[in-house]
Parts: sequence; C-alpha cells; structure tokens
Amino acid sequence: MRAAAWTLVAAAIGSGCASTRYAPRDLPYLKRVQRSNEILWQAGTRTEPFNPFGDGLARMVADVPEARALADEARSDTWTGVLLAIAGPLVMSGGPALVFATADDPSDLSSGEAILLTTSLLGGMLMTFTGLAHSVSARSRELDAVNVYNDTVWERHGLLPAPQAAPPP
Amino acid sequence: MNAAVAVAVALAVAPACTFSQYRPRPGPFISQVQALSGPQWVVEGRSYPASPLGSGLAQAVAAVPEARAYAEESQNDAVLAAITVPLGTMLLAGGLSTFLISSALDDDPLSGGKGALTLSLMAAGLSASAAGVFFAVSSEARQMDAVNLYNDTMWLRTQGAP
Repeated sequence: MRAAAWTLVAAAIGSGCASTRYAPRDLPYLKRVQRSNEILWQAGTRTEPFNPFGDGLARMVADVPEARALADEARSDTWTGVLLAIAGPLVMSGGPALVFATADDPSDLSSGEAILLTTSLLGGMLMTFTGLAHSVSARSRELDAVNVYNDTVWERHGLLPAPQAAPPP
Repeated sequence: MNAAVAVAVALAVAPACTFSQYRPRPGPFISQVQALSGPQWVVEGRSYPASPLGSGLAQAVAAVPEARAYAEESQNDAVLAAITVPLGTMLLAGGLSTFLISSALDDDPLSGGKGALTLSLMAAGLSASAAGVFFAVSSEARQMDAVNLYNDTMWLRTQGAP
C-alpha cells in the first residue's frame, strides 16, 4: 500500500503537474513565472529570482521610483517580520525559564521576578504579533510594487486610461 | 495594564500599515491587492475574493476560457490540499500515538497486528501529507498560469490582436 501511494505521488510530481504549464510571452509587464522549477520575476526578457528576502523585485522595478520604494519596504518588512517572529517566542519562553531557573523559591516569586516574568511574556507576545503584522505588510507592499510598476507599463503602452486629474482645491 | 498593552500593540502594528496603499485603476488586466477585507483580485474595477479555496479567480478571468480552466484547476487542487494535509497529519499522529501506546505495553511495538497498524497509519499519513504538499504547489502553479495567460491575452486583445 505504501509503495503504491508513493508511486502515485512520484508519478504526479514527475509528470510535471505541479509546475506551470503556460509559458508567458515576453511582454514588458511584471509577472511571476516558473522556469526549470524556479520561481522568477519576469518583465520582457529580464528575469530576477523570486525571493522575498532578496532585492530581485527592487531591481526589476528600479526604473519606477515609487515601485522601487515599495519593493524596498517589502524586503525590509520581510526581514523585520521573520526576526520578530523568531525573537518573540524566544523571549516568551526564555524569560519564564530564566525566572524559574534562578528563583530561590519558584512557588513564591519576588516582585522583581514577577515583573520580569510578566514583561517577558507580554513583550514576547507583542514581538510575535508585530512580526506577523510586518509579514502581512511585506506581502501588501510587494503587491503594491508590482501593481504600481505594471500601471506604468500599461499606461506607457496606452493600455490604461490616464489617471483622473485631482479635483481643484 | 491591559489597556497599556493594547495601546502598545496598536502602536507597534499600525505603522506597519498592513494593507495595500495602492488603489487599482480600472483596466482590462488582473491584479491582486491586500484589502481590509482580505486579499482581492481586481479586474475592470471589480473585486473578487482571492481565497484559494473560492471561485474568485475563476470569476475574475472568466472572459478568457483557458485562463478560467486553469483557475478552476487551481481551486480544485487547493481543496484537495486542504483535505489531504490535515488528513495526513491526523494519520501520522494516529500512527505515532499507536506506536507510543504499544511501546508502553510491549517490548516490541512494531511486531504483530499492532505493529502493522502503526506502520500502515504512518505510511498512509506520510503519503497523504506528500500528496497534500503536491496539490498545494500545483494550485499555486495553476494560479500563476491563469493570471499570466489572462493578462497576456488582454494585452494582445487591447493591441488589436484576435
């Protein structure tokens, strides 16, 4: 039964079902593509690796400053999100571990120990939530960078109506 | 104290500005934004929920039948992943529990009927989990296909190609 199940999975993966089937045209707008099982950013014939921690997206959209700033923000938020998501649980578990390991009487904590315990728990929780928010923010900024860049490309090729003029003050 | 923590959390989270600052412009191309209500597909000024389990993408790209077919495949794969991943995890957990219980009761937990049950549960759990990961990756690939095919088609149509 095990061999049959693995054969089924291997056959499905080997058949290329999990890869993209459509090969996008070399049109100048920015998109995500898959080439040789690697995910890439592509605009025209230029490609960069799709890596939220790297600056591939920033390089792809470099000629549109607003998009570039958003791509830089996305990368910065990705790093902040990951660091806080790791540091938060460490602080949440490390603080209490330190308090109980060093307390003279773990069943009767001193006020200093109680403050350290509470601070590490709340601080760790705050760091974790903030990390999560930064991770969501990174994804939003990434989408923004792509959309702003593509609006510029589509507008340059006359494929989008010009933005409406701002109302007079 | 609770209020102070809530304020601290709000202050820490608010500057991160977790939603899209970009406002989509009405046009023939499909784009994804992170709205207050969650991720959305936006095309021709209309928004569709971007949940992988829902039919938002298929509705958004309905004007291009081949892209719609890819979007439907993506949705089917996402549903299969949502079923097989938890199923695999449960089977693995069942196999592990059986192994631990057998270990506590017997010297040789992998022998006899209990051993066969343990190994079967773990093998089935691993297979289901692997299949789930495959379906999740496939769903993402089909989603990319749907979006790229749709936008390529729209580009060619707006340039006057048939």
